[in-house]
Amino acid sequence: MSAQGPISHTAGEIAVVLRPKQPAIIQFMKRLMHKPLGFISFLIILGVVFCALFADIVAPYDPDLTDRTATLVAPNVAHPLGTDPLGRDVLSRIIYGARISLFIGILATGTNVILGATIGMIAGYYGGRLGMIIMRCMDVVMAIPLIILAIVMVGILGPSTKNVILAIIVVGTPSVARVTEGIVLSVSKNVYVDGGKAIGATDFRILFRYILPNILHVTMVQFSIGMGFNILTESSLSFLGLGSPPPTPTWGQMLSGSGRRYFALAPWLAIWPGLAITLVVYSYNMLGDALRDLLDPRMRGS
Amino acid sequence: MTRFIVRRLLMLIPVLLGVSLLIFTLMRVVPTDVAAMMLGENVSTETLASLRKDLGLDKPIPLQYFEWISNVVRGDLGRSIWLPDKTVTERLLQRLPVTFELALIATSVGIISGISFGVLAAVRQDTWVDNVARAVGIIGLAAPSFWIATIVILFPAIFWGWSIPAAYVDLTENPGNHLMKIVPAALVLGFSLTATVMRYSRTTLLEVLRQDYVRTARAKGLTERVVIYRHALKNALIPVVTISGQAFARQLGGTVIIETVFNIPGVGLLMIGAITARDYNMVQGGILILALFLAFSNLVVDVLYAVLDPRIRYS
Amino acid sequence: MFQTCSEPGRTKGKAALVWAYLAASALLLAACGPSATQTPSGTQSEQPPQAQGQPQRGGAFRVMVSGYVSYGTVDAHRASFSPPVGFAGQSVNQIVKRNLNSGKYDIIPDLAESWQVSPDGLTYTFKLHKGVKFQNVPPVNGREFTSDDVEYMIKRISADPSIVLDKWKDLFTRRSDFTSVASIEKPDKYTVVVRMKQPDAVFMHNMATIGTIIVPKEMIDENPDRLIQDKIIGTGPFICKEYVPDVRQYCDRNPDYWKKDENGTQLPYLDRLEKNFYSGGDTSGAIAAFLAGQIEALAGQGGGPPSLTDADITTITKQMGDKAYLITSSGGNFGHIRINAKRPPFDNVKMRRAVYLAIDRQQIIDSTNRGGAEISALIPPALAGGGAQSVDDLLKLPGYRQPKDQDIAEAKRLVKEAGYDGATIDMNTSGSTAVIADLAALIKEQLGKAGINVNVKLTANYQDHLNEMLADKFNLTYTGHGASPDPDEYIYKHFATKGARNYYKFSDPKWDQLAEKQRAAVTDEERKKAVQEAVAYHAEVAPSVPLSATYNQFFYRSYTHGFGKPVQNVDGSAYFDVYWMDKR
Repeated sequence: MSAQGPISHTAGEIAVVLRPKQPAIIQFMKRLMHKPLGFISFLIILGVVFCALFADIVAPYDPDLTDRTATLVAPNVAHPLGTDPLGRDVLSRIIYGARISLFIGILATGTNVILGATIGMIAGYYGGRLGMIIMRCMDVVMAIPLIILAIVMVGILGPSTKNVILAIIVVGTPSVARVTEGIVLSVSKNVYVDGGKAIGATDFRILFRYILPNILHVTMVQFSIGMGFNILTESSLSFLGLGSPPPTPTWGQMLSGSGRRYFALAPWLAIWPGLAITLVVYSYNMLGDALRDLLDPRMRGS
Repeated sequence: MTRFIVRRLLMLIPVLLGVSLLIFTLMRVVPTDVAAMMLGENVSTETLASLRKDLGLDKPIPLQYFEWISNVVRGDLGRSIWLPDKTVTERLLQRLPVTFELALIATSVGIISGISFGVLAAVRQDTWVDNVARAVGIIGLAAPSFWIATIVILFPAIFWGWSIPAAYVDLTENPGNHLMKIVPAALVLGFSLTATVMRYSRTTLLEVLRQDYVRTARAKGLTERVVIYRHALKNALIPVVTISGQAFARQLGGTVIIETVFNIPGVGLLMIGAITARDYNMVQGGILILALFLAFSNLVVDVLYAVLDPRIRYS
Repeated sequence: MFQTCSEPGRTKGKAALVWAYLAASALLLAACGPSATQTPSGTQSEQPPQAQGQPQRGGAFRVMVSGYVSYGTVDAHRASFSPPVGFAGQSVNQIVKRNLNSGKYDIIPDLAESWQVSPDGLTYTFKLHKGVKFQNVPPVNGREFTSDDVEYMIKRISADPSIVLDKWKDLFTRRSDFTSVASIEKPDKYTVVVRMKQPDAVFMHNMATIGTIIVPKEMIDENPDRLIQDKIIGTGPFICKEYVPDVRQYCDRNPDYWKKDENGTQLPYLDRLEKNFYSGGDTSGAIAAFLAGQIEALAGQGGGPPSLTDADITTITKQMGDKAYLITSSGGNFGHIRINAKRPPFDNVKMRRAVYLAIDRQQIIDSTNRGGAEISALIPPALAGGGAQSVDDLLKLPGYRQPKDQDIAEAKRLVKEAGYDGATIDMNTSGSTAVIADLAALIKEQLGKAGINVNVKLTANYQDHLNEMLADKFNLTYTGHGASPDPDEYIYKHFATKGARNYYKFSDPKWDQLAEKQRAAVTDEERKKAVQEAVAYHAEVAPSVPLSATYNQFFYRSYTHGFGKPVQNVDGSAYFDVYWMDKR
């Protein structure tokens, strides 16, 4: 990541750019529409969020309801995506699965981003010995391949939704912190920060008024891409038997469990949750790309 | 340059110490009596105590750490608790080559395909080419690798009665069969990297294309082709080198999943078994070695970066 | 579910660790359970045609077996479960063994030509084959096998201090198997007389069980720890040349093997045996390998749930047509829901009975085993001769009968009476595979109907599961083990207070008395009655809910022969010495 911030703007200008007045959201949407992939991804994510929020209404069946007379039914009118070996409706499980995937994703990624940005801001702003110690600690975590650290954590603590989220937070936070620190380091050198100090602003005020707005765009991109990455991590952990306990319908578990086991006879079991993961991860990545293009001042106007 | 390398190597020491402490603590967060695990049910407390003593598990945990780390510093990773006939180092050395081979091929695949897609996307920014290139590239990032791997293994077997060799053989024993197994696995693993590299090279190329010297080149009346491939590309791709270290790190982690699905006896499979068995020395040693290699590959990348880009000078 | 093959229990140690190994064994490793004389219904089963013509020499037989092998012991004397037996299997012989090819599951001679039991059940006399030589491999170099080796084996399994280092004696998890042996006498090189302290109905079973293998003292003494590490020598048909944990084991024909076929032709027919290991739990690679003709036989993970699902079977059958035989037999693995009778709420027998009644075994089998299992009481129906109920009889009993309405109503009433209506109870799993997830979901739903609200706690693997059991951190769990051909396994070892595999800590004086009674029985009739008594009492006190007995399911390529009747690798290795192929 580049360590360059927007140079030579005044604080006032920055505020205008990053905290636009009312119609700005519409402006933003208009700009997003010029990035078709990003826009479609945005719509897909909205759809998934809607499904997750209103799963009770959207899903045709109770996701945990078994039906011994309709096991491994191929997709048909009653079960548009077929049923699993217990006769549970795959569509309903995928819709409810969106809930748990987003829950894990948002909670873990949100914590990553907030925690990582805070750590990065503190380390970058105060610098010196404190900053160094903080960043060396981040280096330690980042020195271990992410997925392996996550496997060790969940393997030792035991598989549960809580521990999966915890593992994702631990492995994901340092990279956010590192990127944030880099930006803060360069931003702090800017004239307007010095200006702020000169007029006697507190550290707190400088961090939140002057520095935070400058890292927000990166943070948003990181959140979007992190969501995708973390949903994948959750499914990989599920694949290794380190996911949420049954009967929780998680996409990772559906895919790695019966999905793989019955692949030959009932390919729909693997295809739908696989597509769901791919589509959502894909959308978050595309949206992240579009956000990067739109929000990064260097990219604007291209 | 030498000073830079020496300094980086010195900086490595606290990080690796940190890694050792982190992993040591993590393995012991949930108290598990490994002696009881090994001996099973109807065991006398004396026997348990004596085995714990043999394994050094009766000592206070800080002391255990101290003893372990002082051996590690001397190059001794200890012995597996469960399989004491070989040292952890011997077992890791046996498994490391195949994991590295896998990660290396995968990283190369990811970088080459990523740069190609990235250049294509940047040159035709915001056209359908850009969109298609990115769309395809990101599929690799979005689709779970174990899912693709399962399809790669089962699909040809079900429909054409052919499959990649299920049994692993060493490169020296049967190079053909060895590569038939490693290469598909590496392709699946490498595909997940394409998007990251693509994104990065697209961004850097776009940045370079906006710089003055490119404008100058255009102004001189050079064709767009020459401008991009002669002038811009070279400078745009140098920064891509910097992420190849990170990429290798991620691929090294990804081998755990791929080794499990493709049945390749590398470090990943060994680690999964060792975590299950709470084989402290094996997990600690394995992760320390992986971290060490990662650090070295990052160092190599940084040095390479300096060599490639004359503007970069480390001091 | 049912992560381990055969006897995870006894050893919660290394043995159990190999949970993933599951028995894979099936083929090679053998091990799991009793067989039925009839082909189980509910699966499409092709009887292999009788081999045409004379057996031919030559060829390499390749199989894939599952396992995180590097984390299992290969010392078969230490644990009588599949991985070590898979490792040792074709290199060794036993004194007596279970007959896998007859379908009757009887005990037949191997290195013993014959044996006699005195009428009081106190003296066993074994007459050994003469002129049997160990494999011509250092350090034994083809030495003759004698009665000394039999004594050595029994002593080593019993962790005799003269043989086993003191610090390792607890690793010998079968050390109580031969405690009823008073002395071993060797009147000559080819006779062994075992005198007993008291009659022991399980002695011959222990002699015939898979881990009771003959290995030369010289091989053990070579290793400073005197444990079997990665080299195995015996009197068996194949000499194992190369063993790479987690990867493979290659074995070549033993040219000096002592057995001949009925025409006097030297066995074995095959030149080579190749076992490749695949990573635990993931069968897709093995299935692909079989479809692609890379291996000669494909075993379901015998100990686990049928890892060959009906989907796999349909696919393979469709794909391979007459190029492969499907062989199905009873007696793969045996699954229970275990109930912790030592703490609330299940210290109340009403609650245990409620679970016993509410569980719909048929739905579980239909959904998770998909035709690959039959319902079972404490002792699998395949052992009906030994005192088990047949499937038809079971279907008339409470808990088993359909429809479930009556039993569920009764279960509900019991839960209310016990005062736990609507209570939430944790259930641990014994791993986290697809089948376990499905099974947990079903149990949760079924017990929900009786007013018991189950909260599933996932356990990453079988090892962690055993740790939870031993630490008494469970209310309800399900687990499985290889079916054993002897009822003692189910009655004494799992539920008697002193039972070696009773880590679920069930204790009931009346049960202990029944368990001792069947052990001390001298005649078969006496024993059968004692067993039936115990089975009936089990349903009453419900320390567990037996769910299913899975079938073993194998595919063989049609050019392979000699594997006989459907019964394979049940409590013993497959007989590779008589396998042959007419294509190589």
